[in-house]
Amino acid sequence: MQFSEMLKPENVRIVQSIDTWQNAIRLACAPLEEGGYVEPCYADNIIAATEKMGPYYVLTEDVALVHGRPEDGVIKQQFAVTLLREPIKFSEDSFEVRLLVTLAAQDANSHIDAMRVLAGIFCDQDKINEIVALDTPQQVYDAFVAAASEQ
Amino acid sequence: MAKQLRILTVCGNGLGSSFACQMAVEGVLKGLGVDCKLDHDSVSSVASAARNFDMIVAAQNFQTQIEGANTGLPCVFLKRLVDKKEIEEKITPVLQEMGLL
Repeated sequence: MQFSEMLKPENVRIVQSIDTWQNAIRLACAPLEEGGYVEPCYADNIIAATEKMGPYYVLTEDVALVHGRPEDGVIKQQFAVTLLREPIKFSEDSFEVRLLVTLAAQDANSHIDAMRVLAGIFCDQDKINEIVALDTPQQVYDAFVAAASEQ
Repeated sequence: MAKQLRILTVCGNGLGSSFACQMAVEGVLKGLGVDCKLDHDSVSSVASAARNFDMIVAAQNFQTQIEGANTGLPCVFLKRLVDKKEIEEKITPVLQEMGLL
């Protein structure tokens, strides 16, 4: 699946701030819910999993790869990107996060091409710093698409 | 040719964080010139999946659970799952001990 089919421009959003980590999860899942890629229960299932396991999706400073399991309410595979101007913490001892990438995966492997693109971004602190400083959702979308074409 | 090293990366669900981690580890081992084959799985599958691997890489918050699975495999626990510097620092001594570096 092409990266452009995995991330739609309308699924990229910038939000000033959010009050709780639970609402950050709901916010990060909203584009996928509105687009019919996940069931409304997807966010609640991720919140429940976080309460059980801790924030398993916080990968490094500024980055969360928010996701549940396919059976948690995934309809169709897709990504969403939410950029927070003010960072949120998902637990006391986890990193502050501004870049929330939400993944709806249908199985363990079919999103491999898109994951390569994301891993390329997540492993590059300079690239993350560049993305969190962008002004518009379109610029953020373009940065992800540009990273995909570099692969 | 040396034996191919098989590494399992582990996270809560086995399809997101562990997948990103797998790619970061792959990049590090390629840089170190170690031939490897990687896969990712969920923490609940570690005990049964471990017999097909030589090493486990996971986030620090799963340390207790993974050690409790008694896999007998060398484990590397990370604070940042996609930090190639941290991965290299922590994986190098394990590779040396295994005679791969």
